[in-house]
Amino acid sequence: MIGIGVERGAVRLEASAGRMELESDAVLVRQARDGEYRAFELLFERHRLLVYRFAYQMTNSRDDAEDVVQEAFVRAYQNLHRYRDEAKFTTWILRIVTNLCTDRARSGNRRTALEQQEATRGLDWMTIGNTEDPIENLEGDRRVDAIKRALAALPTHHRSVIVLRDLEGREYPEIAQVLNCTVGGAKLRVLRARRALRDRVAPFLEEASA
Amino acid sequence: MKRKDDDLLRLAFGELAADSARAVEARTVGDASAQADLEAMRELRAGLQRLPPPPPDTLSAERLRAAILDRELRSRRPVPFFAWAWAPVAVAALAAVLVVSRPALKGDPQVVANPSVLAFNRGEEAFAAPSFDPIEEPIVSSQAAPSEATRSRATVVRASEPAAPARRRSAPRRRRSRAVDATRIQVPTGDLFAIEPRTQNGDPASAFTVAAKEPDVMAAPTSSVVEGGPYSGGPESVVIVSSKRDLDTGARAATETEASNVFVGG
Repeated sequence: MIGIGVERGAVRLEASAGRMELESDAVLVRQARDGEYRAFELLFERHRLLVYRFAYQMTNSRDDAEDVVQEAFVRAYQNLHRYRDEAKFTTWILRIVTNLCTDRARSGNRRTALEQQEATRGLDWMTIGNTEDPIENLEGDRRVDAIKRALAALPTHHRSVIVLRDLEGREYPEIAQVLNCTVGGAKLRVLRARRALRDRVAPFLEEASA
Repeated sequence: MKRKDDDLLRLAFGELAADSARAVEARTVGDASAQADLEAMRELRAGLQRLPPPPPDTLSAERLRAAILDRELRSRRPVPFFAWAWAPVAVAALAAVLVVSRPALKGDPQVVANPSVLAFNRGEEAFAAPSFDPIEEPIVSSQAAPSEATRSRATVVRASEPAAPARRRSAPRRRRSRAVDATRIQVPTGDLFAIEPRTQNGDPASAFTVAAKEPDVMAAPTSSVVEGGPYSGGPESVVIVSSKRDLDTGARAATETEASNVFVGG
């Protein structure tokens, strides 16, 4: 009983903190709209890592991810007047990043062989196991490698929802806002994306074990 | 089958309610393939969560600021292509304003009389052209025509040095309206001009009017020059050339007389 009360209190506190953060972002956006550039820099510093993490999972390249983040914040600054206060700033900026990544994937007609190599090289530093058993490490690295490659091979619309839901842990209502769809639609998209990922991982796992 | 897969996926990713999760798990108890699928999906979820974080970024507020500044400048720099279409319109408008504001094109055309022409274009080809600079000297317009100018008697002006050769150059039309400095007016030696101060509307620039005299008696400029110094009024001879020609020979009559007999002055 006490535990439930504490848990509910924590949820309330979290919600209140979230509201405060939302208000704070809205205030900063308003100040930036009024020409106070420092307020926009605060927004950038506050959400830079989140946006970068998402962009990196979408592009598999640090340089590309940084370009995407920078472009996203530049566009956000140029379109501050279009931002509606009822949405979270992070949702808005993630939507911009999603659109940018989709545009990049379209314009580049997927990735070149060089980018594929870079993505593969990027796996090298990721596949350092943290388990004592070397066999288990090897098996885990193989699985992670296959998942990474499968994720990189997914279409952008599938990858974005996997990253938002399973890597970033975003809630469905926020995913729905980012994707500009209903919550039910977001759930459906996540399910389809997971299915697509599962189907793509299997061949990579077989390839790795062969 | 698809429904079963979706339920397994939801179960593996922990998105089923507790009672639904228990029901799905109960269904997979006797199904080996379903259990294998469920295990694979759970491994998939675990693998996703094991993906390491991205490498550290090199983003900075300064870099973003530079990018925003660059974008803002670039967005302001280009001029729309159709803006050049206004250039001919602007030139035409400027030309129209210039044409309308030009006073010479308003009303009757102005008659400009060159005093040098009035004075010397009368058939006296023996005369040398006076050193009359149309640029430096005023030109009488129709508002101050020679007929309206105040006339006086002929005056013989003697100078200490011979007249400078005439500097003729065609003055550009735009310089006709140039303001005249009265102190710079040069009176040619021996030329029959009367320079009298006039004031038009109190404008000092138009205070002088040059009017040609009736060439009743003219003196040769060279004969009036006394060597060794200015004219002192001594008993020297002066040749007076009449403007009237002899009917028989066509030459002008010249009379040499003493300088003391010649009336000099107005």
